[in-house]
Formats: sequence, C-alpha cells, structure tokens
Amino acid sequence: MNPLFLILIIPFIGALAALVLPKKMRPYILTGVLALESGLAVSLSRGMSTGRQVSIQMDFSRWLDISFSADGLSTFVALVFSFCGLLICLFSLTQAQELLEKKHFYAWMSLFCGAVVAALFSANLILLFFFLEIAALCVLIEAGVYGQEELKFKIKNLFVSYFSLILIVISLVYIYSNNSTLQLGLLAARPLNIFIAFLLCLALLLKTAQAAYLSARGLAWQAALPQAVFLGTGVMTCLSAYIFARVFLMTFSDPALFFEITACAGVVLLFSGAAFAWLARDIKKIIFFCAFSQFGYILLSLSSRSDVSFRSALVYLAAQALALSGLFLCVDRVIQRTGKKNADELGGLIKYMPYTAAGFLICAFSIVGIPPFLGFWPKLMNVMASVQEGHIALEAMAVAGALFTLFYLVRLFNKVFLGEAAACIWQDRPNFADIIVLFIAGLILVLGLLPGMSFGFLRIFIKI
Amino acid sequence: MLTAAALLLIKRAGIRHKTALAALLAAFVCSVFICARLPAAAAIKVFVDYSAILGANRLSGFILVLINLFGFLIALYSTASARVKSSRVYFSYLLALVAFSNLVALSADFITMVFSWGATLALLYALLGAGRSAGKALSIVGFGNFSFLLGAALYIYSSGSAIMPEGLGLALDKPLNWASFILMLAGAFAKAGCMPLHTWVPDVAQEAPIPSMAILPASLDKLLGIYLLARVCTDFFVLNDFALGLLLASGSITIVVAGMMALVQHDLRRLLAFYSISQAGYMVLGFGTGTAIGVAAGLFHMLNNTLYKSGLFLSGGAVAERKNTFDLDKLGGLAKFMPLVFCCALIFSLSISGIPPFNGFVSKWLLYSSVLAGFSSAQGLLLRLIFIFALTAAMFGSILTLASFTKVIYCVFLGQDNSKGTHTVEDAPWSMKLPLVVLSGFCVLLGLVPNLFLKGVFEPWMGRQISFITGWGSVAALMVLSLALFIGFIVLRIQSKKNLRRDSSFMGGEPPDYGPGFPGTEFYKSVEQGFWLKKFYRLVSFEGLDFYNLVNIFFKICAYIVKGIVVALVFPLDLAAGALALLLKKNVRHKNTVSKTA
Repeated sequence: MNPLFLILIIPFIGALAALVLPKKMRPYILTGVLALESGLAVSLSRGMSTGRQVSIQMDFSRWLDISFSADGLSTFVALVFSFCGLLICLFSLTQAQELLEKKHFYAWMSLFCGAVVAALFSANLILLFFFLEIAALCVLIEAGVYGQEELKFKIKNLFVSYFSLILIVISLVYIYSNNSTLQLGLLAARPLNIFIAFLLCLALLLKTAQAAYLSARGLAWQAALPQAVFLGTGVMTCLSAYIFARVFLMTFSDPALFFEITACAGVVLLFSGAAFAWLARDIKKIIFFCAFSQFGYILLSLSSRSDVSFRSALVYLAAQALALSGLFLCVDRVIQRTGKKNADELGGLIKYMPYTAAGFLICAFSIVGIPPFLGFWPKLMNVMASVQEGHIALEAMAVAGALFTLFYLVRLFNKVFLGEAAACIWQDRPNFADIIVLFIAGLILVLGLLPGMSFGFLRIFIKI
Repeated sequence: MLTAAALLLIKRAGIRHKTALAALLAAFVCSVFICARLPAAAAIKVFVDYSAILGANRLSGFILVLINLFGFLIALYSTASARVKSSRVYFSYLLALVAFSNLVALSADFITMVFSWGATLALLYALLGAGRSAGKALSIVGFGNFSFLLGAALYIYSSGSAIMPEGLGLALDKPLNWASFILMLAGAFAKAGCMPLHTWVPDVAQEAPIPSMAILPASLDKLLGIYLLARVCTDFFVLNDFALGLLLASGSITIVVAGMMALVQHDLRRLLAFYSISQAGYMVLGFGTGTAIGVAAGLFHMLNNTLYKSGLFLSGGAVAERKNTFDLDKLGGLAKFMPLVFCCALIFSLSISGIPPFNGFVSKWLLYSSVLAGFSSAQGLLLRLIFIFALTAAMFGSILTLASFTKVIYCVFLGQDNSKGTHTVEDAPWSMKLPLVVLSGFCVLLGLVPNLFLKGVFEPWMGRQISFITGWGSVAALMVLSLALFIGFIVLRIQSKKNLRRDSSFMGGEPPDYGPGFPGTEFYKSVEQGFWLKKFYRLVSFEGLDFYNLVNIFFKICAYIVKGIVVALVFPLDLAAGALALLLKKNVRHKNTVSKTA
C-alpha cells in the first residue's frame, strides 16, 4: 500500500479508535499513531533528495481535486513533528491518568495530528488551508473556546478565527480566478499579487498567534499539558512556517518587497514573543511565548530566500521542535511535582530534580543558540547568510532577540531551579520521564557537536 | 573531548582524577609538539557548506601551550580540593573546557572560532556551579558571544572571506568596519572581564569553587579574551587614533577603578577578582598604545598575569581548604603553618605589584615604555593627553596593587590568627603545593630571563624587534616623577586639613596585651571614608550601573513598550468583542424576562 495513503489515514483511524476503545488504551493509541507516522515518514523519505515525489490524486471537479504529494520538505517536517510528538506522548504515558478523565481528548489530538499531516502533504491550496483550519479548530476546542469559557473570550477567538478564514477565502478565490487552478504544482513560479500575499500571510500569523495565545491562557489545558500544549503551540508554529515556505518560497514568485516586510514581521514576532515571555510569571506561558518568538526567527530565515538560510530554517525548525519539546516536558515535570506554575513561588528545585534542571538548561541553551548545542548551527548560518545579503540591521535585531531570550530563560532557570527551595518535594529519582528529557538533551548535544550529522540528515530529504 | 565523555562513565574518583591528569598531560605534550612544528594548518570538513580550518602561528601556538599547561596544573591542584573531589562531572567539564579552548587557539576561520568561543560559555556556567552569579556571568559573557558572532559576520561581509587574516586587516574607515571592531571588542572585553563588562567576575568569585575560579576568570578566560583582543588589534583591523584612544581610556579606567575597589575588600576572593579585572586593564592599555612593544607588553602581561593570578587564587584556595573561610578578618598568622604557600603567595604578590626581579615588573616596565613610545609618536593633542592619563593610571594602579597585597599578606599570613577555635593549621597537601611552586618558579624565571619569551615567541610572531629601552629620556622621567610628587603633595595637603581618622594603637608585629592586633582590613579605611572617595565608592558600587542590571532594565522597558503596542492593537477587537458579548447577554436577559412574564 502507498505509504502516503497510510500516513494520511492512520491518525483519523486513531481518532475513531480513541472514541470507541476503552479508556485505558487511549494514551497508547495516540502514541501508536505518532510512532507509525514517524516510521512511515522515514519510509517515505527514500530518494527524496533526488527530487522523488509520492502522490495520491482523486479528481472531483475542476476546482477541487483531492491530491496529496510528499516531497522532501513535507516529509522532513512530518518526521520532525511526529518524532517530537512521539517523545512527548511517551513521556506522558507515565502520567496519563489525569488525561483519561478528559472526554474525547485523545480523539481530538489524533484528529489534530491527522489534520497537520494532511496539510503537510496537501498538493492543493484549498486542501492545505482546509486542514489548517481543522487543526486550528482542534486547538480551539481543546482550549475550551466552545466549552465553559467566558463569552467575551469566545467571541474574541471566533472573531479572529473567522477573520483569518475570510482572509484565506478571499485569497483563494483571487488566486483561482487569476490562475484557474489551486494545484500547487501548476501554480509554481506564477506571480502573486503582493496584497493577496499579505492577506494569506496575515491569516497564517493570526492562526499561529491565536494558537499561542490560547496555549498561554491554558485554562482547559492544565491537566493535558505536554501533548496538547506541544501539539497546539509547537506544531502550529511549525505548520505555519511550512506553509509559508511551501506557498511563498516554493510555489509563487513573490516580489522582493514582500520578503523584506515578512523579514521585519519576523523580527517583530521575535521581540513580541520575547517581551511577553519576559513579563509572564507563569512558567508555562513563558515557554509558549518562547515558541512563538522562535517562529519569528524561522520567518526571518525563510524571508532571506537564499539556499543557506532556507536550509538553516529547516534545521532550526527541527532544533527548535526538539528543544521546545524538552522545555515543555521539563516545565510539566515541575508543575506535576510542585503543583505550582508561578515562577515567583518556585525555587531551589535543582536539588530535588537535577535531571530535569540539566535537561531544561540544555534545551534552553539550544533555543538561545549557544554552542555546542544544535540550535547554534542554524542560528549561525542564518546570521551569516542574512548579513551576506545586506540585512544587517534586521540581523542585529535578531541577535538582540536571541540575547533577550537568553536573559529571560536564565532568569526562569534561576527562579525555578536555584535559590531556596520554596516547595517541599521528595528527592527525584530518574524515571522514564527523565530518560525522555535526557534523551532529548543528549540528542541536542550530540547533533550540536556533530553538525555534519544533522545536515547529513537534512540531505536525505533535500538536495544540498 | 573523548576523555571528558569517558570520565562520565568512571565511577571511582581516584581513577577519574588520574585519567583526567593523564589526558591533560598528553594534551600538553601534543601542544608543545604543535608549537615546535609551526606554522601548522589543517582543514576538516564539518558539513557541506563549511570546513573547519585549523592552524597555528607563533601566537596561537603559544596560547595553546599555556591553555594545556594551566589545565594540567589546575587539574593537579583540584585532586586535593574536597569540593571538587565529590563532584563526578568536574573533570569532564574541565577537559571539555580545555578542548574547546584549544579549538579557539587553533581556529583559523571565524566560524570555528565563534563555535569554540561560544562553547566555552556553557562550560563556564557549569564549572561556576550554575548558581545565580553564574547566571549573571552567562548573561554578560553571552552578550559578548553574540556581539562577537555579529562582529564576525560583519567582518566576513566586509572582507569577503571567513578565513582569519594574519596581518593586513581592515582599516577602520567605514561604519561597518567600526561596528565589527566594537562588537568584537565587546566579545573580548566580556570574556577578559574588562570594564564595563566586568561585573560578573567579583560576583562569581564569591560562589564558585576556587579551582574553577583559578581556571576561568583568572587564567583561561583571560587568556582567550586577550588572545582575541590581540588578534583584533593586530591582525583583524588597522587601528586609527580614535580606536587607540578608546582602548587606552577603557584600559586606564579599568586599572584604576578595579584597583580602588580591590583596596577596600574584606573577602579574599572578591579582592583577587577585582585584581583580575584591573590586570586586564593593563593588557588593554598595551594594545591601545598601537606600538609593537605595547602589543608585546600586553601579551607578556597576559602570560604573567595568568601565572601569578592563578597562583594567587590557588594559594587562597589552599588557605581556605584549611581554614574554611576567605574572610580576611578571620584569617592571619598562617605563615608559620604553611611556609611554602606563604613564600609562593609572597612571590605572586610581589609579581603582581610589579616589584623586580619578578615577571610582573618586566611586563609593567614594558607597558610604561610602550605608553611613552606611543606618546612620542601620537599626533593629536587629545591622544597625547590620553597617553599621559594612561601612564598615570598604570603607575597609580601599581601602587594600589602593592597596597592591596601588603594588606593581603598581612591579613592572611602575618599578624594573628583571628579565627575562633584551634590555632594549629595543617599544611596544604603536595598536590596543592606543586602547582604553586611551578607557577612561582615561572614568575621568577620570566622576571630574570624575560627574553626567553619576548625573543622566542613575540618577535617571530610580530616580525619586529622588541627593545627594553625605548625613548625613556631623563627629562620625561623627571617630569613624570615631579608631576606625581606634586599631585601627592596636593593630596596630602588636602587630607591634612580634614580631621584624620583615629584608631586605637597597635604594636607592629607584636600582639598587644589589650586585645587582638590591628586588623589588616582597616589599613585603608581612611581611603574608603575620604569625602570624594566615599562618593566614588558609592557610585561604583551602585547596582544601577552594573551592565547586567542595565540590560535587564532595558529589556524590561522594551517588554512593556511591546506589550503596550500589542494591547493597543488588540484594543478594537477587545472592544468589539466586549460590546457584542454585552449585547448578547442583554438579549438573553430580555428573552428570559419576556418568558418569565409570559
């Protein structure tokens, strides 16, 4: 059977199974789905670097043909997403009891994974944005927008949701009326009106910002922290970055001005995320804003349009996904053990949770871009590439943003792990959750020390 | 690196120590071989876009030998430190740090340099104990790292090559080159602990284990920071008058302010940390003269400082190992219990104070000569005035150093033991004393035969002859001495008009029968309490001027501004959502009322 078909269908089957199967089996379903997705992404990757594509096509009408295609970029992002998701699900198996109480949680999560994978492999613009919308809808539902939230909050989110949807519809109608197709392959190298490009880009940013905002509120997610938060925030930012690359870099030929402006938008996002992280006290929120801030960095890299910066953006995407997974898990461990999430109320945890502290530090260093960790290499390549293209002021701002990140993450580490112990907890013993955290930290360190390995891995997917 | 990883798997502390020592000794021998076979070069393909280019010239070969020598000596010393003994990861960190420092010295391209330079940061944090002050160090040195990264990127953009030049650097004639120069300077200053990026050094000194302090701020970080500064000032850029003035001024201010701060410290580690900063000022001063002799003096002072500063930290550590304190008020009379440590500490103190025949004298003499040589060749009036200020600061700094170390020797080794409890102290173990003896031996050797390094290392690297005797004319000397005497006289007159501080009497060297001896930490209380000096100390100690706090405040302001903008942008949406929610609620309430009425 076509592995692309399998990779697309398995999460939806998983979602149905999560509704039908007994409670205790649900956590294993999501883990199994992500494990299968990772395996299938690996099997799909064969020959991708030579430009091989795997496709599925079903024509329904002139404007809607259900077609999916897997190339190096989409397979790479799918593998990164499913592998990190798998690590997080494995971590959460040890504490799944609370999640079992949440009705339909695992079904929504499986559906979310299915939507993300389908969006990644969509060969048609309408399908791409349809599945993006489904994924965003899952985030909205999981965040409680349709639940017991206050009315104003619901209305605000629905406004944003519909506004971005309207922007997407207007853009797609315009593109179809001008090109008579929404097939990505057929739209390749065609010019796109700069105004429409901005509308699409704005819609993407709104979707990502909304996901980060909802995660930051985290009202409905207190119990379901690791999976839902990572999938909601980390994956949505990854998906938005992918769509940006797919639509604006690999399909349409956009004017240079568009990329100048998106590069500026990247820096603004980088600083906005960092600023909100700086002011936040909730340790969960700090990591969410950090994820959002890193999306700005990826946008900046992609906007440079050079081969080097494109590659650096992809490695950055993988590095950031790994490091953010690690940080989410560490924060979750802290919340689980202390029952507190306000950084001011925590302290001295390094004594009780040394493995978590070490994992947190390595992931934070990678996000900041300190060598010898993985996050350093893409950051370095991006700085060098951007400066070579004359984006000196923007890159200076990006470096200042990295410094900003260093300051607030070090402050967070100091508050949570150093000083006097504010919470009375038992001595940590390495358990399965710690092994996952240390595995992520070790991977970040090894790939940082051997950058040839990480870039060689990228070479499997993309011709370098 | 391999041994660092392997040590994590070894459970027995003894085997771990021996393996680490063997690896460091092997690395030292290798570095000597590399140094003997200069120039050397190699290219290692790291990944598709980039091959790391390694190479060694006279300077980097010399730095390489020093890194491994200090790594070995400090590892040897550490085997006797109780705090280090219990740590399973200390030697792994130390070996990894030496490995990355070696890579810094061997880097022949900017990318490898930036990578290895940055990698030492994480290890600095780990070795300093990952405490709050280590966080401060991480933030400030991290700032330096990012500055260096951006500076290197701009340099590559300007020069068109990622390979580090050897001579024939860029001229400071374009804003871009200036930006690159300043950013690289910030990187070097943060690592070396020069003002205004120095505030992490005294803070970490109080928390970190002594072996870590001896290897990081005192020796390795200083070596690497000054190595980068040397490359920036000699290879990467051709400095103009303004750049020279900038270096001279920052070096002079660093010498005086750090020296003044050290003078009034009561904690031995903080005092040594301030001298670590002050000595970096001398090196910057040497590079700021823009003369060949100045560069040689700066580098030679770097070597000397690494020797005696490591020695002083290790001596302090040996004392603290026995007395469990670094508080100068609680120490005293240790010379009779630890005679060898005392002799070594005395040699280090005299060296750092610039007393002949020790190495500190030679490098300071060279520095004074280079300032005078620079003064003679300077063109503008402002630059000449800065040279005069620099010379005064350098000499005044030496006086401050001598004054401080008189206090240190008195407080720690002479006078009376002021601590409570037992007054018998066990001598330091040989693994602690051996590094001290080796380091003090080098201090004497380089003081007696300075040409060993000046002619053997610096002259071949710089391609110029370095002479001890420069334009030190008798007239200039007379003028400088007269000026110093005149200033001293004025200060004395001003001081004598004010009420002098009076303290109860003491008997030099003899314990008085009415109480403990005169505390050494009180030596310079008058200085601390002087009208203007009091204000100076208050200003310098003001936390708002700390670079770390300034950056924190800056980021806080930025965060509030960004939040304000975002809130303002979201406000219409908020307003509309609020209005609609109100309308919907009213509608629901109205319907309820109608249905209730019905």
